[in-house]
Amino acid sequence: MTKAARPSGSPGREARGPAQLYRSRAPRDETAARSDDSAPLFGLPDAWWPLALSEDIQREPRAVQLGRQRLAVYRTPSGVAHAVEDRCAHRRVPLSLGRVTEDGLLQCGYHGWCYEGAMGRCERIPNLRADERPPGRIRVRAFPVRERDGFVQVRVGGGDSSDPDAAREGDRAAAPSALRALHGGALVRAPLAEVIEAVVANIGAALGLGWLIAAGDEARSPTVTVGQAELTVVRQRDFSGRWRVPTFDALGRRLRHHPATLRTTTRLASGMTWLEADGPVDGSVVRAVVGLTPIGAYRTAVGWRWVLEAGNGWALPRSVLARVPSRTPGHVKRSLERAADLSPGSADDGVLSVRSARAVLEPPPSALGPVAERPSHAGSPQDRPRRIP
Amino acid sequence: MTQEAVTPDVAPTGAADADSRSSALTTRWRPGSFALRDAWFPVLHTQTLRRRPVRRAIHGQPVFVFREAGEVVASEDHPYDVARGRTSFTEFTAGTGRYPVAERYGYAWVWYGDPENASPDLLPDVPYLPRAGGLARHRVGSVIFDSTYELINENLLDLTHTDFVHSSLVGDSLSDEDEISVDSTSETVTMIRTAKGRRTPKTQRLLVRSEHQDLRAVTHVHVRSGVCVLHGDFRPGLSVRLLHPNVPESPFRTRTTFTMVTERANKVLRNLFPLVSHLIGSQDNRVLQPQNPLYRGVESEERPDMSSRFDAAGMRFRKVHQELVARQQQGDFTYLPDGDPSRDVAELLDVDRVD
Repeated sequence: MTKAARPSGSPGREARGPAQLYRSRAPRDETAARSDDSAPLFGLPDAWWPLALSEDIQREPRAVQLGRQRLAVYRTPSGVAHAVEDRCAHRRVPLSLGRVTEDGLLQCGYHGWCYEGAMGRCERIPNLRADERPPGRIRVRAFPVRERDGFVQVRVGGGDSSDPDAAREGDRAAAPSALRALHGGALVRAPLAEVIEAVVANIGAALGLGWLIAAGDEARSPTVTVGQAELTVVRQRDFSGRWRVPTFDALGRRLRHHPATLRTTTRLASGMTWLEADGPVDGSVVRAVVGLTPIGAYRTAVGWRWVLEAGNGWALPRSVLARVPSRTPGHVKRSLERAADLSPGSADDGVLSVRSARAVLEPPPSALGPVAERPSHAGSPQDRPRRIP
Repeated sequence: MTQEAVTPDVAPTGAADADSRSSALTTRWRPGSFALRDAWFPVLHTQTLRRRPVRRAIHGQPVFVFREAGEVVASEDHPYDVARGRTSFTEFTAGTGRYPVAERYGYAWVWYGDPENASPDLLPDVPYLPRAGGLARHRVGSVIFDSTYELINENLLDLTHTDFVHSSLVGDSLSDEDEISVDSTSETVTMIRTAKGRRTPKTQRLLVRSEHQDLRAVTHVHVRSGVCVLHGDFRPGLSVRLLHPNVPESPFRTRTTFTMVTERANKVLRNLFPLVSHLIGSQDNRVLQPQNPLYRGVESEERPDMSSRFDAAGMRFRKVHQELVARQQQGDFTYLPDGDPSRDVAELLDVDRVD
């Protein structure tokens, strides 16, 4: 894993000398490309957006769509992840159909043009003589990328010295260590806003992890704290199932007296959510992180990882955890879609707060719809032949 | 001192002219948006015709090919419908329902355009195929591409793509020298690629002991019809003579009714090469299929295509194509004197004529 550098703009740092110098060079976990005007390409508000779980980005380039923009995401042999537009500057063929060379360039699968991932420059065109180089103006759009919380993330819009993600520096300890976490992903047919609300309302039910993350009836109403860039909800839920026979108590209620406390923090722009909660066993703690990638207007890719830490010096054996299937996309997809479908009708305090807090974001979610403008055609279409009766 | 490897394809007459013309070729190039007419299209291998009529299309215009009293004919409607009076005869058949048809090189060639202008003298010259046809069945075939035909013509004019798309069959890009020369008329574009010291690809190692070989590859494209006449001459090695007609069925589909003959090959390669047509085709289709919509106005912004010196032939193709479109939009469908499709190209391809 790449070691993350401290962003020098984090609040609370008084020293400005070396940190300021350092800021003008790329921090170790971020590429140098800056694209402050990139937001219109995506149709999404400025934020660090998760593209995929780190494990899912290997040397083979992968096509990932974020909002309206198609990206080719890949990892160089040295392990650095990059995201460039999925379109060769030569003849428009998707770069995700290509490959990554030994020296870490993304090579188009059509004519072999090679691009570096930081600035998107074309570094090599095959068959040129040794003294020929591609002109500097041949390039593709490259976007800043970092790896954090076990996700490969891309920056939409400009960097910001008051970047709220910097504030999470202190919370880094709360994010599950990638090495110990179990992870999974699913592609959900629901808009990003609904999936965010589903996660805020009941993350355990949304992920189909009701045995791990309490997903039952609320024991105490939620406490919501809305910040400038994120929203925190503290709840208490039983470990009983979501489902219960009407007019009866839920079955699990007798088995466990103490409801679990769940604390979720959700980034307002991207919906990325961190969870810390009481686990199913007394004294245990569950930590999870969920990353949401909107694909167009009606689909969302969901990635998650979680870790269960047992208290009282007793550790759940890895062999037990390993038996839990870490990827059950079918069942999680269904539970996420079901939860997302219920979101619009939800009146939960947490959901209402996140909805009103997100209403002021730019651009609005409708920006992800089909592109309205079409360029004019240079040649006129062939006239339809007249039919001779 | 390094030199920039971009070939400007437009002679600058004035800055504004050059910019708008070059932008028409790099940014506003819209393949599949204009159907060039008055040309012969080889829609079918006649040896595959049985009793039932075969349905083909040219620029979205239906063509039914069948035998009538031993002769190959092409009709706008299925004979079953014609017999029941269900016809949709258009100006492409002057209201008769029958297209002009010619048989040559084992193909049924159908004239798309004004039937008055159809003439066998306008059939393209393919020097390495016998006019009477009669080639073995395994030498011919039909490959469907999910793309408009102009992009396939470009694909054949920049054969550097073979180093990546077809590397397992025709080799990689490492060579001592690699030169491209381009020539054109008002109807055709010719690309000649000479590469020396290329690594012999695996499949040819069956034939060739040498680790390296030279290559002279010629692609001769008839722009209106999409008929491509190719010769790949590997020395030491085999000579591949490929007729690659790209028949535009729709803006998203092209039918390539190919014929492949080889020289200096052993029996294995002679029989192997035609069989790999679908393998090669699917390798090309993998990039052509996603590429096509991006040239049809699907993108929200217009950005110019970048080129290197290996794109000289492809850019020349765009230029010739646009000039033909411009003339046809004015109602001029004629062939200019320099653009005779039946011109002898044996010397150009460096092959001996069969007849």
